[in-house]
Amino acid sequence: MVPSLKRLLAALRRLPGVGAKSAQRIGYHLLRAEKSESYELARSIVNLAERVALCSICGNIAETTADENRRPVCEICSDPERDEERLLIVEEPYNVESFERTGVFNGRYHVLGGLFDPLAGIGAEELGLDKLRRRIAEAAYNEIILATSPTAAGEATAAYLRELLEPLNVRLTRIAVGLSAGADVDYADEVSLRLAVEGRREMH
Amino acid sequence: MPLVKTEAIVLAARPLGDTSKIVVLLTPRRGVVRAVAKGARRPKGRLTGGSVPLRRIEALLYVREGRELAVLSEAQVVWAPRELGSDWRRYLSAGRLLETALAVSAEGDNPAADYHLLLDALRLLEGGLDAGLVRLFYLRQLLANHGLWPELGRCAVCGGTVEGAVDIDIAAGAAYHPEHAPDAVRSLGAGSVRLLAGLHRPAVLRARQSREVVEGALDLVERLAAYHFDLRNRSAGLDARAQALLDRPEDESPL
Ligand SMILES: [Zn+2]
Ligand SMILES: [Zn+2]
Repeated sequence: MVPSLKRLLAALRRLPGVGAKSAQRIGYHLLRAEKSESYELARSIVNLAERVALCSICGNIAETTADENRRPVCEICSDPERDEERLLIVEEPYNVESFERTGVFNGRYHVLGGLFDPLAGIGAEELGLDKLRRRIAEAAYNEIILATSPTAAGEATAAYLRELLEPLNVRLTRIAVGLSAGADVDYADEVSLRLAVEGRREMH
Repeated sequence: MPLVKTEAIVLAARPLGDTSKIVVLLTPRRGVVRAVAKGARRPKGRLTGGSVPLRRIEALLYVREGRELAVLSEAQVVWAPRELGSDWRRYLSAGRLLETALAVSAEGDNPAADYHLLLDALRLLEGGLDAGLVRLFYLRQLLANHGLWPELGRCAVCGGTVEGAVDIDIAAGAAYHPEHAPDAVRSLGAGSVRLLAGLHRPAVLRARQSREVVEGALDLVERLAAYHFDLRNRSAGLDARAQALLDRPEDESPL
C-alpha cells in the first residue's frame, strides 16, 4: 500500500466505530471520487478544529468568531428568546442536542463535560463546579434541573451538586422516570427523554 | 475459545465506539479481566445493566487465549449498590477501592481472596460504615492477602513482645520497641495498634473509634500499600478537594 493511503487509513481507524474494513472502504472511495469531495471533507475537519470551541458560559460546543478577543458563546447562550429562569445541567454537549430534539425544554443549559470518575481522577474541581456555582449565584434561575444519568456516577454527581447549590436557595429538581437504570442519557429515545423531563422530582 | 462462567465485580467501564463498552472485571479465579461488552451503551442492550462500575454480576465470558480482551456475552446483575450513588462521599471512597483493586489484583496470585475482600469492603461501605474504617479494613487485609502485613507484636531488635505503641520500618516490614527503633521509622499509637489487630471482628468495626486512632492506622496502611503496590492513586484527594469547595463560600471562589 502507498504511504499516503496507509496514513489516511491509520487516521480513520482512530475514529469511533471505524474498524480496518470501514477505513479501507472510505479510503478507496475517496481515491475513486472527485478530488473536490476529498478537499471538502479535509476543509470541514480543519474548520471544525479551528472554529469550534467550548462555550465560555455553559460548556456546550460553540462556533468561534474571527475576533480572537471574543470568548466563544454557543447558539443557545446567545439566543435572547430562551427562558432565563430554568437551567438544565447535563453531562456532555451531545446531551444538549438530545434534549433540544425533544423540544420540551426552552431554558438554558450547563454542560459538565463528564461525571465524578475517581479512576480517571475527575471530581468537583475537574468538572469546574466552582464556576457553575458562581454562574447560578449570579443569575436569577427559578429552577435547576439535574439531568445526569441514573447510574451511581450520575447520582453521586447530582448528590454533590445538591449539596453545593443548596445554600443558593434555588429550586433543584432531578430528572427521574423514563430512563432505564444503567442507561446513558445520550442513548435514550425521545419519548423516554420527554418523560424524564416531565417526571423530574425535587431533590430536597 | 473457552467459555467461562464466573461472578465478577465491574471495576471500570469505558465507551467503545457508539454503542459498546470495554469493561474491566475483577473475578475470583482469573483476577482482573478486560472484556468487550457489545451494545452495552444501548438503553435496552442485553449487557447494559451489567456493564456499570460497582455492580456485581454473573458473567459469561469468551476468554481468548493470547488475546488481551475477552468478550462479555452475558451479564446478570446480582448486586447493585444503591446508597453509594446517593452519597458522593461514599461513591468516591468506593472508587478508591476499585482503583486499588485494579492496580493490585492484576498481579495477584490469590485472586479469590482479593475478590471477596473487595466485595466485603463495598458491602461495609454500602451499609454505612465510616469510609476511613472501610479503607483501613480493606488495605490491612489486602496487604495480608499478599503476605505483606508486618508482624507488629515482635521487636526486630530484641525479639521481645511489643505491647502498646510500636515503631515501624515500612521498607523492612519490621516493628520495634520505641526505645529500640532505628531512625526514620513511623510511630504508631497503642489505640491504632489495637484497632489494626481487631479489624477482622465486626464488633471492632462497629465500635466508635476516635479520628486520631483511625487516621494513625490509616496513615500506616496507606504508606505500606504505596510502598508495596504500584498504585496510580488518581482518586486520592478527590474527596477532600470536593469538600473544600463546599466549605468555601461562593464569593471566595477563585476566578
Ligand atoms: Zn453556551
Ligand atoms: Zn525491643
